[in-house]
Amino acid sequence: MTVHRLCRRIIPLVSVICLFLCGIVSYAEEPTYSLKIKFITESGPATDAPFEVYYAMTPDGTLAEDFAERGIDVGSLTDAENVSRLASTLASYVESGVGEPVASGSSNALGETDFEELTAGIYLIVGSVTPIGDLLYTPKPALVRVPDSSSDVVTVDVKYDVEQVEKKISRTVKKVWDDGDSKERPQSVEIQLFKDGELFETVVLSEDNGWTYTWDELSASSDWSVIEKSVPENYTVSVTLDGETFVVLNKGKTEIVSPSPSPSVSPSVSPSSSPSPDTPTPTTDSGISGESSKPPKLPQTGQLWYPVPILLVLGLVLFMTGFISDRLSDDDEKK
Amino acid sequence: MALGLLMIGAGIGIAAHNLYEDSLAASSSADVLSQFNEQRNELIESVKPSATPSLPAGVTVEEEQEEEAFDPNAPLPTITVDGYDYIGTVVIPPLEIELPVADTWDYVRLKISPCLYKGSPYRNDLIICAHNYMTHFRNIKNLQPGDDVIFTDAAGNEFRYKVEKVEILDPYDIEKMETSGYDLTLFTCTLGGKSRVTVRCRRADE
Repeated sequence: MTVHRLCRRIIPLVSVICLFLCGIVSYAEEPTYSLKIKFITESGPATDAPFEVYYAMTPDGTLAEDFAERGIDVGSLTDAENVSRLASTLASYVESGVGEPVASGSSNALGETDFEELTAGIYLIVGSVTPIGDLLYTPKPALVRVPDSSSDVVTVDVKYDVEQVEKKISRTVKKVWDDGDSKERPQSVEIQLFKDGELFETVVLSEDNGWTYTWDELSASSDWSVIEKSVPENYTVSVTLDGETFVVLNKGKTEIVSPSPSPSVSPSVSPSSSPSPDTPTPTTDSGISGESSKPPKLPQTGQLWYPVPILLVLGLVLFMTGFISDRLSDDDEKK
Repeated sequence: MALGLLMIGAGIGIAAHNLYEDSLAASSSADVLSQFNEQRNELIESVKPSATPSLPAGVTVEEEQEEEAFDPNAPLPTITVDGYDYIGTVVIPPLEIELPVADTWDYVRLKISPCLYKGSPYRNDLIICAHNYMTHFRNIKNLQPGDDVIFTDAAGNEFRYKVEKVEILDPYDIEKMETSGYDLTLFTCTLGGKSRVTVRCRRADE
């Protein structure tokens, strides 16, 4: 009974204390707000565009701890031009590693990125370059006051810069030998890649790299061409472009002639040229070529079989003739 | 008599060298083929949709197939094996051969496998050349009109052909080789090496 009485007195007391504490906590908790970033471009909503939000200033316009004491000129926060300049300045500091984002996220299919539970203040919005089609959209950094005067959910339409994506292409060079596996074939050759007529890079082709090399990430707006730096002695060279591949054909000469004084220049390729998927036809090459005494010929795809029966038959005939002749002379001597 | 023995020895020597080269080519191409097929199967598995999508209303199977027509200018996909790129495999059922096809020809590649000489199956002007090794194209001269030849590219697309004729071309007759208008041409040297045995084929699956 005593316990029962005690409980009846204590439970209401504990309840009152709990309610009191809850009231204190809820009073102490700061109100929070939401921020919606809209990244809508002329090409449509930018999806998967990453954004970071930094607490830049207190509601009264004082720079946050991360940015204070850096000599940043805050200026007037009612002057749009000044606010834009300030946002760029703060974004530069962020780029250099100053400050930590209070929130980050990526835009959804509608081009919207939502941030919740932001305390009152002025926030810096920083986005990243987002490609859409052949265009690159760079969001401009922005400062936004949360909450604004009209709503607890602040909506910002991001401004952006647009630039054309520079198209990249690949070019491959392949060395083809037409010399019947000559022992005179060099171990390696040097190939020079030219960009708009100026030497861009020199590479070495050999058995080790399968006599081929690929350059990636080349500007499509430039003209690319290759030459063989020095044509191997007793070989002629021709260079053709087959789709994305430069085929450098070295033909062995049947007669010893002095090597070409200067390497031949490949056809250059402009971005508008349509690639042909044809594979190289080295023997039919009509590109710039050195002196050659042989007309173009289909690949020699045969083994040397025809001498075998000739040698065997002739050998057998000679052997038998010799054998019979020996026997006959032996018989004559015995007689 | 000694000269006769010398000639017989030379003949046997050449034959032995040829047979050795032949067996080397057989093992090289078999090795490449097995690696190529393995990689191609992995590639096909990786891009295979998890479930067959149902056709949209009003679209027939024929329409769906038409949408898969190949771009004639598309480059041939390749798979790299031992440092060389291969565009697919050629199967000739009457000769019981299946061989990889290198993406371009030179005399090093020709010792391993048949090579793409020119053209594309997507444009119906594919030309494949190979050595006349026993395990390569030695016996294509025996193909008969109506025999099957199948080329499968590195993405697993199958192109079926029927042999239309076998002809012998001069090695300098490049224009005739390249501008025949046939969908597929296979060629190799005659046994003497002087001419080119040329097999002309038409698509059987169009």
